[in-house]
Amino acid sequence: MRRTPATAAGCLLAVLLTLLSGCGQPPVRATADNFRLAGRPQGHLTVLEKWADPEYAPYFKAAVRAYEKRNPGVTIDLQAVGDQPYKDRLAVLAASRELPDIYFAWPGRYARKFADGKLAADLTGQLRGTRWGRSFEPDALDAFTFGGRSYGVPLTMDAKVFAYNEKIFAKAGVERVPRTFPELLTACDRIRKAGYTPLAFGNQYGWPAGHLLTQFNAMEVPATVLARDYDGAKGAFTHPGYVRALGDLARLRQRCMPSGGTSISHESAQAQLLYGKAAMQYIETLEFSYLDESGGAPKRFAEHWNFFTMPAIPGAQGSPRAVAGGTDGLLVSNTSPHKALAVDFLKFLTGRTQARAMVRELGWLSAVKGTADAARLPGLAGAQRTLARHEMSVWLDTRTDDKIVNPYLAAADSVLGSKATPEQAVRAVRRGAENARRFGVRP
Amino acid sequence: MTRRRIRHAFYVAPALALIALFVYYPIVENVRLSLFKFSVFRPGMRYVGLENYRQAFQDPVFWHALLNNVCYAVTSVVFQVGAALVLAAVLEELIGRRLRGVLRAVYFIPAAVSMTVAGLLFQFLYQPDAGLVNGALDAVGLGGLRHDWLGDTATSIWGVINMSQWQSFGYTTMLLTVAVQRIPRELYEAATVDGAGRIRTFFHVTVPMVREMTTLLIILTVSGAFLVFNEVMVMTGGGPANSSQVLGTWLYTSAFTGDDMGYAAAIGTVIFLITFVAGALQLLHSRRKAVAV
Amino acid sequence: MTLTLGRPAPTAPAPAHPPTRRAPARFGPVAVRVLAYGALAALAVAVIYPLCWMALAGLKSNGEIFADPWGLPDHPRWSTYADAWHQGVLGYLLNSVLVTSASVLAVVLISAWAAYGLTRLDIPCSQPALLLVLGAMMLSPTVALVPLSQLLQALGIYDTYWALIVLYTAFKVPFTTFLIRAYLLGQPVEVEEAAYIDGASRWQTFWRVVVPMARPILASAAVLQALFAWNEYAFALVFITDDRLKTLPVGLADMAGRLNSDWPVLFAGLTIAALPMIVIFLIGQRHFVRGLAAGMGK
Repeated sequence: MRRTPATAAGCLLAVLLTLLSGCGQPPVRATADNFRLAGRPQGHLTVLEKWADPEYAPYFKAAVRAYEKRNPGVTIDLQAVGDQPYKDRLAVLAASRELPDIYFAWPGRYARKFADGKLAADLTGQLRGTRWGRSFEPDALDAFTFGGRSYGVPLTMDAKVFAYNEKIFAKAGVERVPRTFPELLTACDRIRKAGYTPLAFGNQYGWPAGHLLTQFNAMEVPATVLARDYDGAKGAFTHPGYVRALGDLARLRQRCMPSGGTSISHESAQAQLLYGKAAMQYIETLEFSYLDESGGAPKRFAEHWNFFTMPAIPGAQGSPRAVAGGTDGLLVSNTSPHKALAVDFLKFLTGRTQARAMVRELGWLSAVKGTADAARLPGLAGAQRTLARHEMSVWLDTRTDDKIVNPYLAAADSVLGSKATPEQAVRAVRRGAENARRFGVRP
Repeated sequence: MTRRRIRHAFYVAPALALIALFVYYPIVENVRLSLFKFSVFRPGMRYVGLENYRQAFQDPVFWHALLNNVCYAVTSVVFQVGAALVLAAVLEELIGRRLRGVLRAVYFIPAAVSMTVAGLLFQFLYQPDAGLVNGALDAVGLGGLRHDWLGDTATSIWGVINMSQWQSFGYTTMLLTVAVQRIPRELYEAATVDGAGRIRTFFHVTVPMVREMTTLLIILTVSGAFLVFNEVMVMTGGGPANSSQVLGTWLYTSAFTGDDMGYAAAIGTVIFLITFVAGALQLLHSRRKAVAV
Repeated sequence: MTLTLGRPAPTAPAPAHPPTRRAPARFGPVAVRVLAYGALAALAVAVIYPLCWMALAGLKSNGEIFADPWGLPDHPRWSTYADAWHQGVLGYLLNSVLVTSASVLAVVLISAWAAYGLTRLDIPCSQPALLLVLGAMMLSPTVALVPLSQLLQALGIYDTYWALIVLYTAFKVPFTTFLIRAYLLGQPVEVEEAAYIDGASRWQTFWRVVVPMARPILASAAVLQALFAWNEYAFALVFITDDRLKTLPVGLADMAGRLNSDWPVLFAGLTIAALPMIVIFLIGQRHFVRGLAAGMGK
């Protein structure tokens, strides 16, 4: 043990220091924006989406197989993650710069992060003013357009509505669909008196309350103010409409939701609607397939349901025609070596035939024009009309800054649990926005 | 001579290399990263000094998470060390040998089940309507205590902590039994001759004689309580309203949902410091013991 | 400590004095005993009932679980277990087995080498090396999720089995080395020296003398490592994204998300996942206890 300890320690330190200087945020190695296929489609694609549910997965698997069959030189590795873990999973992949060639994204700031970070390929040339681009509903395309550049291929259209059991409404003496928010609350009282849970609600994941607030905010707060607070870097949330919106949530909680608690999952809450224990649930039109016999709903429910949108709130300053909703889309990785192939596959997936198959088999509204008539599911045509008549307000929890989402959903949680008044809750949101400004991640 | 020594070093080299690369390096790097602001989605990092620590200091969720970790630690010490020791002593003193083995095995079984399984199971058991916990309360006439256990901000973390006690106390009971069995019988006999009752014997013989094991268990339990992640993630994800966040889940949420990697690294450093102190105590403890023997 | 480590922990009371075990109770022995038996039995039920319920729930229908959570299934549906099996439980199980056994093997081998080197051989700067290894016991790299993911990415093993095997091994090498080292320190060196003098190389001595001698502690270390690797969640959640590579803890959580509210299939899947470890524990209970006791540094 003469000079060796010093040498060994020195070596170790040197190794550590080399490592220290070497690592850090890995750079994005963008590939060339070459979207033209050279010859027949060929190569390997990786796709990551969030439709892992046994009801949805087969459609996407079949679509991939169909594409592979048409193009024998192509292999596609399709991976589906559940809705809940998807967000975390994609963040981890983005952190390691290991994004798949094609990946799912929610609209709004969620997708924009990928665009801003140059992690999503700029598809403007493919989507603006082209035949492919014109085949989509303009609203849907806009949901993935940032600063005039298009980054996402929209797949579905979605809106949030109250699905209700007509029989329970009749039994409780609710003769017509509520047209105003107070009417809805009164209807809830009647339904409760008749022995049913008025509104099934499970907020285990947090977003169900987020969706309700998306709706209430859009109705209570003028769209320009909303845009400033949601999308801008200076969200202050000072408009009184935000307090009113949380107040609406509190009233809905008190008079319509189950008294036991709201910690169950959205799906467990749905079971209460399907099995005739609850009269209503606030659901996405994408979920309509679950209300059908083919989706596992009991016949006595499947034949007696209908839906309505959030009724108008008297005295509200926002848009009475607003409906919470969104459009789900797919992005192409900017680091993908197969951009042309990825775009070709997306063209196939959003082609008329395939889009109609999606509407038919999954009961989803497609972002592709002229597909609604393919629907077999009752209610889908109505959903289509609803979307056409309303202004879509994109999900609060994907539209706003990540750092505001957590305080906002937490504020909703505390209002639901009667742990905070709407005023206190909004103060918590403002503090969150303030923190986002002060400690924001701006390299 | 020197060549042989170098050759001998190859026995230790793999261990040292692994530890340097995957234990020391990440922790040092983590401290460095905690001085930056950066996003997973954008290239580039901004040096902010101690800003992330200041942010933690002003973040109510951070303090709440820390408090939850403390609750976790205290409860775990009470049940997994205190109650488990009583249980071990009762098993030893009052129960016949064969039945004792069976009971011990039964108590241990949950520890052989992974946290994910236990967490998902208990998530259902706590359900407000169909859950067995509320059902059991009804059955014994305590229906008034029915509760949305994981859905109420006041009880959510306790739901998780409770599950964790169910899962782990059998493990510590098993270890404490081993310790209790090593106590020389003569001490008990002497205590009985002196006219000490069972309870006094427990406090005057059993407790001091297993102090080694209990100290060790306390340190392990406490440092484990600050690393809690799995059960919270599976059962509540930190909700509702962040009421069940612990430092581990808040780190994860800040990193991958909040996209604030530097802040996450700062939280990591805080957890690291806490567990480091616990670990240092453990090492000191075993050092002392080694010297004593 | 070094002395007690070597002694196998008795799982049953020492046979020398069973009759004196029960100190004569002086107040209401029967009442006390009845009370104790009652409480212990109640505790046993509280502990085991949820697991039995879970296994049974896998045989019910969703409706039955909600309508009559306490009841027995009307018609046990064994097909639910088959469904769960097809939901990927088999794959997760195999991944867990692979990752666990590889990391057990690696951790025991690497630590045994290190412990041997640190206790028996003259190596350069053994003191700092020892300090480095043992000092790492106080560190918990789980807190360094951010740099670890960058490191694994730089090494190109992100999202592979290697990520987990390497991390599980590296994470537990310090503790395992500590265990084995303590054991070896308590063992006589004469046999090794004899073997060495007989012309065996150090390498041969290690395999033929040291490994057999240290078998009890190696087994204990293996048990502890298996328990850790089988249940580890944070690394498996962050460093594995490919569904085909997921281990049970994360795979099951994913499956729960995928199944939405199909509780019977979920419970069947959980039961299938829990069973192997329970069975292994019940079979190897005695060794298990000894391993745990040794693992606590006793």
